[in-house]
Amino acid sequence: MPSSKLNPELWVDRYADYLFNYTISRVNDPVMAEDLVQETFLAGLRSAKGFKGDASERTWLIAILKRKIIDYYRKNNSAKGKAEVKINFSNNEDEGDWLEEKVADQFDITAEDAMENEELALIIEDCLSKLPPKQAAVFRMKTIQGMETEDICKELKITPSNLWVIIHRARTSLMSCLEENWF
Amino acid sequence: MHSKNTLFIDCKEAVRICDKAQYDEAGLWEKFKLRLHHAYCSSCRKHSVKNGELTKLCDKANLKCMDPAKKKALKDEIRSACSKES
Ligand SMILES: [Zn+2]
Repeated sequence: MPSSKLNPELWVDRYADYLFNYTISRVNDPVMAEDLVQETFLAGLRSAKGFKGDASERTWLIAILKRKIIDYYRKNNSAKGKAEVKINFSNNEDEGDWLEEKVADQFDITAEDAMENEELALIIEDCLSKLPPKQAAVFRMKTIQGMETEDICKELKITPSNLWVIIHRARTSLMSCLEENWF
Repeated sequence: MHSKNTLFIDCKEAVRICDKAQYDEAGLWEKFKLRLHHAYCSSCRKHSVKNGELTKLCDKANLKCMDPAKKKALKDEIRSACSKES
């Protein structure tokens, strides 16, 4: 990532879903996850001057988000008891002490699966962020939100055959991106 | 322009049906024509396998996305915060 400038106007389009998927696998509550993503962006705005440009924008935002998630767990620790915290700060020198891996009982068997699925989700998000915005948007509406073809066409003012062409392009790019990064 | 009565479809149509099938939106007749096409077109057959794999991976990843209304609000909030600063 050569660019060392922040582009907050593009954050939502570029990173919101990536951060959201990252958060939701840790807090398991969509509304709370949305709030944490929102807080992360706003905190990012406030500390934009501290961005040195030696990390990518997304890495920098994830670092802020990690702190937000830890704060969330600190606040809720007493209430939640065995909270599931899967945050690994081993690559973050200033908070090296924060290596906490408490996995709730019911997650024991599926923890590995869940981790693999989370990793997969983030890779797909990463691949999606490389698509032209419209392709990514249509793919998200169709595949992730499960919207009806008709509704998407209405909302975006495109014809069904346009939609399938866009979906096809998105899927083809995703396939080759995943082939490089997953298989 | 896709004639509904043609038994033999071209690759473009095959790929379109294959994509629709990933979302359970291909009809029986379409699926039949696709299967027939796959019987003699190996490149569409290969593409179809990969396409199905992508569908499986997306299911497995259990992708979520933020509520679009929430996203829009957040975008506006960021935009107004940015314009205040400059
Ligand atoms: Zn073919």
